[in-house]
Amino acid sequence: MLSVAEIHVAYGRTPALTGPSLAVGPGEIVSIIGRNGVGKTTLLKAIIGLLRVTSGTIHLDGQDVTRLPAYERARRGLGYVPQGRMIFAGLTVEENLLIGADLSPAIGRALVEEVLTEFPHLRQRYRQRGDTLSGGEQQMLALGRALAGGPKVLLLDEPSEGIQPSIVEEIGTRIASISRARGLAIVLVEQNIEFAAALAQRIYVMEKGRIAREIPPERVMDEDIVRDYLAV
Amino acid sequence: MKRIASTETLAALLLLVPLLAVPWAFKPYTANVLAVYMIYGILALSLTLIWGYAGIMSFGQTAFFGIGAYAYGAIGLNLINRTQQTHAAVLGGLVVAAFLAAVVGYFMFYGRISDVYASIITLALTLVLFAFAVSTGGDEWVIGVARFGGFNGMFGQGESSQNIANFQIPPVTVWLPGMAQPFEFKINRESAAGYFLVLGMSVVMYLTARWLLRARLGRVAVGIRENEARVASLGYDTRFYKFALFTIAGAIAGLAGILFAAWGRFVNPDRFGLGFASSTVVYVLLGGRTSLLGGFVGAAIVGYLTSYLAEIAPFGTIPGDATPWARFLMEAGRRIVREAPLLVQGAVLVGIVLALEDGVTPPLSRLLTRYRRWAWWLLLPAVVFYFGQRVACLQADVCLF
Repeated sequence: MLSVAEIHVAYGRTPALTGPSLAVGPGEIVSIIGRNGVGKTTLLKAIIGLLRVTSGTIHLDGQDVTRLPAYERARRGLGYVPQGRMIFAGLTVEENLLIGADLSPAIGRALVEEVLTEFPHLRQRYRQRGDTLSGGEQQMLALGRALAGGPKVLLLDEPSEGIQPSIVEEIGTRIASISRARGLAIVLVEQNIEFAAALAQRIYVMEKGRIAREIPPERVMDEDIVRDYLAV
Repeated sequence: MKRIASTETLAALLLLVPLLAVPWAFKPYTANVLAVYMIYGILALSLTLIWGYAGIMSFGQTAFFGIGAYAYGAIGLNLINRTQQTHAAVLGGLVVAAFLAAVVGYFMFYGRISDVYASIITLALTLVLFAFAVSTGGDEWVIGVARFGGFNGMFGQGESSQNIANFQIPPVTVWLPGMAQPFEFKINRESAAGYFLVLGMSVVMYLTARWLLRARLGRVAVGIRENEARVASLGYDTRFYKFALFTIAGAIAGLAGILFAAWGRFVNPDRFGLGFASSTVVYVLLGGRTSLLGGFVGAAIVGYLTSYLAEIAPFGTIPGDATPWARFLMEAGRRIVREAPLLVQGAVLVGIVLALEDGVTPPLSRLLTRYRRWAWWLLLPAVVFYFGQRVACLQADVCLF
């Protein structure tokens, strides 16, 4: 579905990504964990196209999208939920969802309806402005906005950040069931290792701008791994 | 939803009842003055559309206003004596303004020029056009019978139906098949057609802008204002949306320019000038850039302040037994207001903008929503009564007071 091969990204002269590679198939959830500043968010931004890749390739559905602008990648089925939710505060819940759904006008309305069924909280807040929502609701809205565009691959940047635990659990359950039901490929960047382990089939650890190793989800809480790759 | 709808109806009635009654309730002077406020309001609306919604601050909307006015003038002067109408002039003004906006917008947005630079480029554009228009005083600056006239403004020279050498830009004149003679939209003792044309265009432009913003274009525009990268990552070519909105706003500013040239039957380089460019920004800031009505409200307030402050001799007479200090202060105050109305105007505007972050219109509409019932049963009848009384007084000499 999505395959990333040896991409390099730099901020000015400072290299941020030094050739990570990654592949995700339909219905699969792959999680990326690692310390702060190892390039997890940068990796997602490079995949969606907000940062320019200097070398390496990104393929979506077998097509090379490495040189395409972000909006083209989104149209071809790449959905992105940025860190910190980043919903449109001045628009209502409805408008936020529609801005996602306008991407596929033919089925957009049906997708919005589907999102509202999956996240009943949003239906209650349908006509409220985005900035009146709680953190958890905003996260659901950000997810819903991306899902309303009917993506094939979803990039999630720390969806559990700053949200109360019960809501985190609910969001996790939804993500898993949506991925299964729609055959959606998901790349999940997380600091919350338990959350990542509960959802992902595969877990990669990033270090210094590249993927250092893969660990099986059931071993992620082992002490040596936490110490070697994640302890601050 | 129903609440909002009823407030909107109420606001529309409160505005439209007086505005529709004006030609019968007051002398033509008032209709003339209100028409120019509304023309500036349409210009301000075009800025509200791109600045308030998409966050693109154009300091030079006047460039499109001015070019629309000049194009209307040049085509109108040439056509009026041949065809007796100005259809092509109106169309030409719109096309020229939209075209200029499209060209400038294309280079700005597809060249990825960012916010501050867009303001500077548009300001530079209007000032370049100002310098150019000023330098067109010579005899060589003619299009057919239309002379640019440099600082003195545009006029026609040569073929006139009245055998007068110089003649003015025509009012909007319509001659459709089936009409016995051409119809001129003028504002004078006999006719208020020009006033109603401007009022009608204001309403149409307001509704057009509202319709545009309710649809996808509006959602994407607000998204761009909040975070452009986010909108791009949702699948929108933000450059195209900015370009489209900027071009539409340019056409609306051009329409205001056309109406202006037809209203005053005159246009000169001042319409491109720094003063007018910054006034437009002030209208929007004062009225509120998040409300489509804001520009109209701002233009009316500034216009009223300007003419009111120029007329009054403030504070009445100074009492004879006043202490020297009070005397001095009152005399100074009177001098300042009389000699420097712009200073006072500026102070008032700064005060309002500081006190009301979002401008005048949003708090007004909140008040209206809150006291909706009172407004329906007290304010609206009072307005209807006052204007009914004015009409009766002026038209039939039935004056109550």
